[in-house]
Amino acid sequence: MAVESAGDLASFFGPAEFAVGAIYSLARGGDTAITGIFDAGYTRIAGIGQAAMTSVQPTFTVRTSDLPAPARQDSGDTVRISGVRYKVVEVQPSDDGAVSTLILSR
Amino acid sequence: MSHVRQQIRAAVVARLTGLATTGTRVSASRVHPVARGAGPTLAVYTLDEESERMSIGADPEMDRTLTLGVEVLVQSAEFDDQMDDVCAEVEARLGGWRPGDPKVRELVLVSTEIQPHGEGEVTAGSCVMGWQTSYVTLASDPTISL
Repeated sequence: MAVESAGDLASFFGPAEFAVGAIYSLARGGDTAITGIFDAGYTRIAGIGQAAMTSVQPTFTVRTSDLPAPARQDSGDTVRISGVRYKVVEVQPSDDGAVSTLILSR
Repeated sequence: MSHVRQQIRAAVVARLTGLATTGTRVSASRVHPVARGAGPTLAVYTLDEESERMSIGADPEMDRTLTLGVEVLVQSAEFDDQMDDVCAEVEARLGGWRPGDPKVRELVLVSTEIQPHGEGEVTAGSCVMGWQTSYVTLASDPTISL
């Protein structure tokens, strides 16, 4: 059962709260303005041997219903956030499907 | 005096410093991770060493076969091509070269293992090249090659 109501989600993902604006571009064409919560937290990439690299993992969490079409991995869809275009490389839906976290890559 | 193994590792680091792609981004070990946005980087370390007794007596000669790992780390959308570029430069520098001491045998590439990494802001890849050499020491003195 969803914890949040549609109204709660709408305010949570509003630009006045935590969200930022973005443009979601379908690979097959068509741009849609959406809002979501952007994050780019630290991540450590283990090498194949003893060495490792540090990076950040950009994510964009959105209301699933705001997406112009169901987000799919390897679809070629992109998201432009603050002037930076990212590829959608992974889609992580919440348990109830109301929210999707898009894993992004430049 | 340091272990011959350490001398070899240091010689390889010096030999690999200044390559066109990796420049001075070469280290003799890699405890701390390579920073985000750094260019292609090399780490040189010991993978393993096997020792075999060659003579009898209280202080026998030991034949040692050392395998060094030269790890290539690349963060780039074109990591495959960049890694192969770096590998080509490393192979051209190390192939058939005696690391430092003339009594140490030539380096031979014995393996190359490659792995892509999908996580992170930019795709990345790492590759470990195994380079083998051998040398002889007294059992009681691993700091001088015979």
